[in-house]
Amino acid sequence: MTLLRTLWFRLLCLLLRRRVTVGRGLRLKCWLELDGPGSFVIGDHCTIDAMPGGRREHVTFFTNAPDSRVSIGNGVLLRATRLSCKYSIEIGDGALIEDAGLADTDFHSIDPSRADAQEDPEQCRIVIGARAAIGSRSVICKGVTLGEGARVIAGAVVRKSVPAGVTVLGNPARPVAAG
Amino acid sequence: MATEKFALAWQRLRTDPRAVISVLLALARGTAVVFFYRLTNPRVVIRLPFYVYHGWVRISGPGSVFIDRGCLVDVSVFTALSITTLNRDARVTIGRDCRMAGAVIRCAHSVVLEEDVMTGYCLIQDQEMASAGQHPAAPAEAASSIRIGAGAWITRQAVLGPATDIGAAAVVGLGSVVYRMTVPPRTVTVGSPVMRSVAISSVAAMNLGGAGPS
Repeated sequence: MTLLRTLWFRLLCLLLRRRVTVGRGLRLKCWLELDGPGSFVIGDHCTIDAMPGGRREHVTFFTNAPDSRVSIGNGVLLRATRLSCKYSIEIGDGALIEDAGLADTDFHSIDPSRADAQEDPEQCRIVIGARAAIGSRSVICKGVTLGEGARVIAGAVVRKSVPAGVTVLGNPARPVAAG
Repeated sequence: MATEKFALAWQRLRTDPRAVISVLLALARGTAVVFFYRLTNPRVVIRLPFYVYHGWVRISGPGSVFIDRGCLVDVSVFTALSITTLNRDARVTIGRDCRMAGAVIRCAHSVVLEEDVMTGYCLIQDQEMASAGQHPAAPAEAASSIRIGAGAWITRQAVLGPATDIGAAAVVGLGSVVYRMTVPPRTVTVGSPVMRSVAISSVAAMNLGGAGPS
């Protein structure tokens, strides 16, 4: 099934989407939904899967604008992850993201008109470092950089960048007290 | 005794037939679930009576699951009851008369719900990462367990992480995240991660405002 799904995905990308670059060894254990006008780069040996016991919830990459860029490194495992990208989301090599939501924009302004948020693309981009791990039901907000090997415990809401090797927990996410 | 019960049931049927019919349908659905697992997965044991008001009960994985009698399942946020065991020696035990709507349980070692536990749409996962041991970024984790005491209430969008112990009749507040902690019995505990515990008896004494006679 994985093989068929992967082949079908690659075929659809070839026929329908211009701006997708997929590396070698991609394994689709559940569907990967690409949406919107942006561009997508997927590295080598990535695996796309659902959460155990949650076959219906698949991985989705939404892009809002033509210059949105979703870039996945090598050896990444994504399980029921949802990415919503307006500027740039970059996931480093060997990262693991479980069923979390990543959005690099607030979409709407706080102003009651709820007009499109005026944001600085450079400050909003999300960078997930190599070998970082993000647990279930987490939210990664705009402008967050997770350092290499950072860990986000399930249920966290990450609003600020996390240094390398640090484990964060809670809403708002704060480092787990040692000991 | 039996005739008294029967009379009561008949009375209910006459005054509120819809409710009684929905209970019977839930029982029928629950029985279907029980027999489905009896036929397909010997490591899953669900005792009758089992009520499933909406949705289906999804149990997967190599471990064992035991649901005691009188439990009730309903749907919340498109989920009824979803139990996944991640190892062969994982064991999920759900006590009598539990009421679960939207519970997602991922068990790598041990998850125990004692009797009368009520849950909303929540995540109960006894490992930091469900994929622990399957990917270099998620190293295998030491076995840990979750215990939810009798009569506790896990409210909507709560997350119970590894090594948590919820005391009897406690209430874990909306959206709370409990991580490697013990929640005292008969308290309302809130926060992400949980930090404040207030005894339920003193909640009534607190003037919380909102609806009600002033």
